[in-house]
Amino acid sequence: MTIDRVIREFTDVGGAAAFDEMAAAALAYQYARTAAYRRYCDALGTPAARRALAPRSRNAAPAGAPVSSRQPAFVSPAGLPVFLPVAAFKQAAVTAFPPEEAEKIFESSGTGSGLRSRHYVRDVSMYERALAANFARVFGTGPLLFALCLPGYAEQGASSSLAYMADFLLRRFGAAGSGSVLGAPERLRRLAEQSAKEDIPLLLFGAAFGLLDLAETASFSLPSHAIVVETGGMKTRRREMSRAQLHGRLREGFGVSSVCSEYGMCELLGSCYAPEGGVFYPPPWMRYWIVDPARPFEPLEEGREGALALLDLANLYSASALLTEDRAVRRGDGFEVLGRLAGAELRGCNFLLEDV
Amino acid sequence: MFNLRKRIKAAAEAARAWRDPEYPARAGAVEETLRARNAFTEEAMAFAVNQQMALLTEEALAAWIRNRRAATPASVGTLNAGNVPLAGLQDFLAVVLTGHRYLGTVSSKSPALLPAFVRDVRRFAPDVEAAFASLPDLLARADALVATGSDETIASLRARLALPPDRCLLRGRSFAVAALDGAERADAYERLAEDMLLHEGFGCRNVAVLWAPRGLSPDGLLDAIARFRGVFPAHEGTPGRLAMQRALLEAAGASHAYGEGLEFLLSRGEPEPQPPGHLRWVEYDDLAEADAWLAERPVQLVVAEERVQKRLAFAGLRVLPGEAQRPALAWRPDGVDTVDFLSAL
Repeated sequence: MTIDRVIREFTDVGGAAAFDEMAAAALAYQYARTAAYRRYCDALGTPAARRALAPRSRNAAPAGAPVSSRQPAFVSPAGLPVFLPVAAFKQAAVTAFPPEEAEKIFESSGTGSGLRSRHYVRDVSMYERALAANFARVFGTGPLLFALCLPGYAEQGASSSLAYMADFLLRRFGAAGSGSVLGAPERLRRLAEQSAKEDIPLLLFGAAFGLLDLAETASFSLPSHAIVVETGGMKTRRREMSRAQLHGRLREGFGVSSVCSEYGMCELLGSCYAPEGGVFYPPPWMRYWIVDPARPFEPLEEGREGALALLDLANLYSASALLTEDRAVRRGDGFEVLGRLAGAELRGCNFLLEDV
Repeated sequence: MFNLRKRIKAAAEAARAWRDPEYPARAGAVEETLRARNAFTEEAMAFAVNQQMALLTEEALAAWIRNRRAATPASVGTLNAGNVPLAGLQDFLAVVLTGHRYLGTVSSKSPALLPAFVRDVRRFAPDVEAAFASLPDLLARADALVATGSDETIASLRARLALPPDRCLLRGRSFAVAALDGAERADAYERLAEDMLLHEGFGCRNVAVLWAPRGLSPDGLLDAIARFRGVFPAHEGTPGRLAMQRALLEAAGASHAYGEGLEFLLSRGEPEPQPPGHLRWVEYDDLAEADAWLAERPVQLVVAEERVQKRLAFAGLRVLPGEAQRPALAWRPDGVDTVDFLSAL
């Protein structure tokens, strides 16, 4: 498998074997070229680190089990990729190329800690192919009447991957009349009327708290075939709420039967959609695992909460295997995001809602 | 009929028994806790139990509670974090000594210590109403709530609670910070090592970020940490947790130091709390930088020598090196007096 082939064909990857082949090529490429990833893998590959990270459970392999000398440094003893924590994007240029050659730089919104993640994008066309293919497989090829509601992201400007994605999808799949409805329920009403009149599905796409504001001020229902997609951001300016609560409020406010979710982040060029019920399904060029955040080298058994780890072929020029800071659980072929692992949770200054 | 003196006596009697490490109830609870999925070591657990039991004398308990008492007894739910040994003990005592009924949760990380101590208190004072329940059961039965959690957990709780805000004491995430001026002696560093690593870096009183004058070498602290680890060995899970942290620092090319067996990790960088066991060393040119930073963060307490404390404007709790892991009986998490809250219900 050549890297050129991965670049050309990753969105058409068919089946697990082909994915494995592309993933192996991508990881080897990144180990060779992405210095931050190589340093990370090498630091974890020392005998001392492997001993420290060996499983301690009764059923696991003995601590310090010998590591095959043929096993690449980017593969864990249990066979999983070595996942780079997304925090690395805050601390280093995670790139397989000179950062100054980036076509685009996406930054995180900087909520929480002051540091922002930076994702240097070598080839924007790869990103756009991933966006388009993923959107089309979930929502079809349109045209759709887009109504965008992304408060705060416009201010972030060109560095927001979410704003870029929304704008790209609108240009690619949007019908005439599509546009922003931010803070403008009247504009949304007009789009809803246009949707009903012209029989073009309306797609309301926005950040959680923006949609909530809109739902609470809109005094009308959307057409029954309208699609509402929330992109996360559950921390509202007023309070936080769970995804289930948010969806309930959005369903009620917009008069729709279901709400879709989108899972993405600036460190990840791919994204996942949850058509309904909050269970995300990755596209064929992404794979996910639920792992112990402290020992992310083997998957946790079904039903156990852990950290979400992803392998995204679209991230070819940075790092494909990423350990997120999201707490998640496997649900069949998909995963449900339960919240964040960061901050107090990692410091242990919290209780777990173990009985729920 | 609520009898404060009788309850205080019962708590003090139970504590007296618990000061003996061989006391069967304590020894059994310790053994069970060591088998649980947590980061507790035998040494740190003994330290925490001894330290807290030593505080529970009749005189100290009476001085803490004074005449504060609930006008109307309520069922007070307390959610116990289980992140450090005996977490939730102060809440339990505050609830029953102000005349309320106690309803607690048991954390799977610390399933035995608090329940065993509560059983002993009830043995000496059977009229103390105290029970443990599952979270849904607790939320359904509690008339008031005391809980500590991450911002997200607290938000989730708020959304589920039917209780009015004035009947909930919800404590957000927090951590401790140390401030040095460079004149610290070796013994201060040794006490600081305890403040940072006693419970493997877990707990909101644990020092996570240390401010030091620019140019100060961390060698004195590193030596002290190595000596501390000779007395309080790391939990077997600590090196594993720190291995990824260290690898991430390597990936970023960040300056860091660590123990040979990865029993601790110290790094230079932005003033951001790192995961447990990983101390962030931050340099300042002017201590006012630390003050400005402290004002914006959920800092539980600041550890500093008295002369440094005097230079800080930080309005929260300030303690000397070596006091972070030795909370006073009357300490007020997040600056809020739990007994005041309970007696006003």
